Amino acid sequence: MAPKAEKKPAAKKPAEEEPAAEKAEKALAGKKPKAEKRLPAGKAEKSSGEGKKAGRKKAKKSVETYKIYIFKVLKQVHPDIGISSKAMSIMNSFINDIFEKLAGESAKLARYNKKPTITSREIQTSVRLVLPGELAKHAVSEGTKAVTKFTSA
Amino acid sequence: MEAVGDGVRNRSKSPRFHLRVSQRWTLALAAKKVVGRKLGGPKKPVPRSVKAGLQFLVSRYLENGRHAQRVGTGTPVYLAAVLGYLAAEAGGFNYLPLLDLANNYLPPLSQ
Repeated sequence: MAPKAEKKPAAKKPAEEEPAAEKAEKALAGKKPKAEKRLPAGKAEKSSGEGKKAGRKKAKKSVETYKIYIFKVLKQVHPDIGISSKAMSIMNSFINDIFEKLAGESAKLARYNKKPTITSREIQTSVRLVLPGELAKHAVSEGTKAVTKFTSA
Repeated sequence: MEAVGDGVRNRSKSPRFHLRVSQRWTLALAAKKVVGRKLGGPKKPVPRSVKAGLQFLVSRYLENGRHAQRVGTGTPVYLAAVLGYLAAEAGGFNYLPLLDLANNYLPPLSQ
């Protein structure tokens, strides 16, 4: 866990140092490698392996953040409201933090049950463990709804 | 006797003719199937975020081997939904009521 924590702030610092315009540019540039990653992933295993390699190489150059998605959610709910760059950085850090908590908890659960796979069931249990009270209930509802829609589509 | 012989010959011919007709039909059906497949064409790739109706990216962050050897297909979808919900909630965006209206709310499956 320690090396992971060390890596991430190093990645975050240059993003913070840069001005907002360059952040936006990199955010837009960040779209392309992700979009490229998806296509080979859809194909056979070999091509997906190639996709992973290409993704890893590109990932070093481009900085990946959640900022565009946070902005999408904001526009989805309050179309007229904006968000400052500092607030966006805070939200990005928050999302990364929650991701690490849920992923770590899921990994523990998978290990305890002696299974090599993290499934949506592990994520659901992790959500119930990590989030308190009503937050957990609503989060489980959202997750189940998304998975149902995904499988039906 | 000759008439009887002719009758026998005619009877023997008719099943062969029927078999040939059935063969033709099977070939036609096979051709239709092949044509149908070709006409359908390969499906264009659709991003999983769109499939799941989410704004957050359904990505492969879990698949770096740090957390587990294998990851199920539903896992990133579920995780993306939870992160999206938390982003809206923590930002004070009042997520749920509008979601119900906007996304054709489905009742959650009880497990």
